[in-house]
Amino acid sequence: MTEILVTALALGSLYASSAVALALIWGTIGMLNLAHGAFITAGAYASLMVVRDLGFPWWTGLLAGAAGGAAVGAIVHFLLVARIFGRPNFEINIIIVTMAASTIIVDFINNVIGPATARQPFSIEGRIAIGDTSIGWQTLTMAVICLGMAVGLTLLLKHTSLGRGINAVAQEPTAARLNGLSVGNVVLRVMMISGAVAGVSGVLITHSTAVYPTVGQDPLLKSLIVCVIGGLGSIPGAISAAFLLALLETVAQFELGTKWGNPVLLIAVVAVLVLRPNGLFGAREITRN
Amino acid sequence: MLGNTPQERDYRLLAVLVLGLGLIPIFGPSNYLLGQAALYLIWAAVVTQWNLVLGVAGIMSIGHLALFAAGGYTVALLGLYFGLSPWVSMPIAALAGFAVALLMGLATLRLRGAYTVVVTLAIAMVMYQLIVTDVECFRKTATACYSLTGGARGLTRFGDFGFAGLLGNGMAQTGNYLLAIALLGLCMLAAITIAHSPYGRAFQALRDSEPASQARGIRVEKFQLIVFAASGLLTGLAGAVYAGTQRTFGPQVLEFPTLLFLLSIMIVGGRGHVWGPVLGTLCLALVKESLTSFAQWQNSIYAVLLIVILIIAPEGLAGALSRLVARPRAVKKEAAA
Repeated sequence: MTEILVTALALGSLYASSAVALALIWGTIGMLNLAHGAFITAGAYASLMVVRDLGFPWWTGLLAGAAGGAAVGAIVHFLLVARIFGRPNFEINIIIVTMAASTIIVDFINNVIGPATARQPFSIEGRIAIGDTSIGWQTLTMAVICLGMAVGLTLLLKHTSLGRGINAVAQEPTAARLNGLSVGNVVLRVMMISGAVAGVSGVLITHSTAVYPTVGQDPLLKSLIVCVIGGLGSIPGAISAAFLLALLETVAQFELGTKWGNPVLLIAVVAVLVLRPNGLFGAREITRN
Repeated sequence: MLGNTPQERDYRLLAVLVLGLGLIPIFGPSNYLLGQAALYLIWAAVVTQWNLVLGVAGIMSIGHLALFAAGGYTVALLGLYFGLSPWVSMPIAALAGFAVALLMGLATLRLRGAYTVVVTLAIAMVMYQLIVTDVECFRKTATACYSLTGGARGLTRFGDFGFAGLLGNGMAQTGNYLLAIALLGLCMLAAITIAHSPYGRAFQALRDSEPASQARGIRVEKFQLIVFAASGLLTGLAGAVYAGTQRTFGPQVLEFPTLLFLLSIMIVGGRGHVWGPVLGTLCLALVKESLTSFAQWQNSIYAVLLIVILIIAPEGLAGALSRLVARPRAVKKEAAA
């Protein structure tokens, strides 16, 4: 029982950190970012190259992951988002375009860096006992970093001028522009922040698996499921849904076998959406045309 | 027959296309060429159906290849375990595509936009993961052990359409090619009929402005489900033709590169245009065959093509063409008035 809870906690914090990055972009720009998996991969590779190839200490991997993810976020913004933001069919076109972008990034890693699988050089030794089980320092550090990012993002949105700007653009881009806000600038920052958070979560995710070009695909699927259940665009919703789903997945894996994790999540998603089409915590969209 | 409505024009154009393609084997092209052409025709057929769902009915389904896989695996599994010929299992494959489409349609009927994308994508990805992780021993031979679905390796040796026996030796590829033309013809026929039907117009109204069409009493949920299921029937059939002509079927059809390739066909051709899939396939086939020396960058090339078209010409080739055709007519009308 404790084992399930500890596993679910570690998994949940990973899901939370990766899903808040997706929720941030959806909630503010109204864009479902299918290049999210590529942000995660970029962060993982940035850390790998800085620590393994350039010989920096292991903890700089986190900074490198953030920088790598933010850089890819900026590139995607300038080449794609800035060109179709606010144009007709933005909602569906951005999904298609970011899917294409993620393919280009995976192709780039395959052909330039190489398709070989590598170990993420990020490790803390030792375990700490909790009741009749024990938890690795690494898992604990991971959980703390992930939760820190999720909470930090929430605070940033609520209490800083950047956060107010982001909320203004999310609510009414035209009004934000009329009040002297550079919408393009805000969108760029959202993309970079989301990229940085996804990049760090990429470093943390790959330490328990490995680094390979399509490593972002599974976290992308998980983040999508988490965000849909939490209500697309709701950050508190994403965090709660992350832990809920991690618990569900862990129980399914312990009871039914490893391969049933994802199918059980899918059934949960469909069930939730049939009952509540806007997710558990999502508000009903009210639009005026 | 002599009518001149847009619908009748489309039917005539389709008849010309099918006849023209059907006459090509007379000129004795190589078997390699016919085989490649058959493959592209099948992809074009799949995109016509996906285009009906995504472009015409406006259901943002990204998991359309799950329907294709349902049809293909039906033929492969029935051939392997029950010795059924693809001719016999083809209708069952179409029903399998229909059933999966109905399930997907019911699961996403009340959902909007991005939610539909996530659920359909998740269904396709879970199907892929269940197949790839299927390693339990189901069928033992002297040398190896195979799982029920063939796992990541896929299934082979489940039989084919037997054109070598029906049409004579060396004619297998010609038979496959002609069958693929028949498939595309059938799919296009369905697409033209649906796009020009009153529901096609209702869908278009709904795409243009949902509140306005709801105010006029247009409710299309029921017809969205019907279109989704009908496209599932034909997509399942396309999967059956793919399995029977390629003689192999694996989880690769559910991987990202296949999805991206078909999506590029749709976008380059023109999303929501009846002739888009055919034009897009022609364009992508030319790109693919002329850039074989850059094979490792292939997916990136499709992706860049897709992005560029979506940014500079969101209507695609079909949209650009129809504007080219429409402009001289409008000028003539003005001159007459």
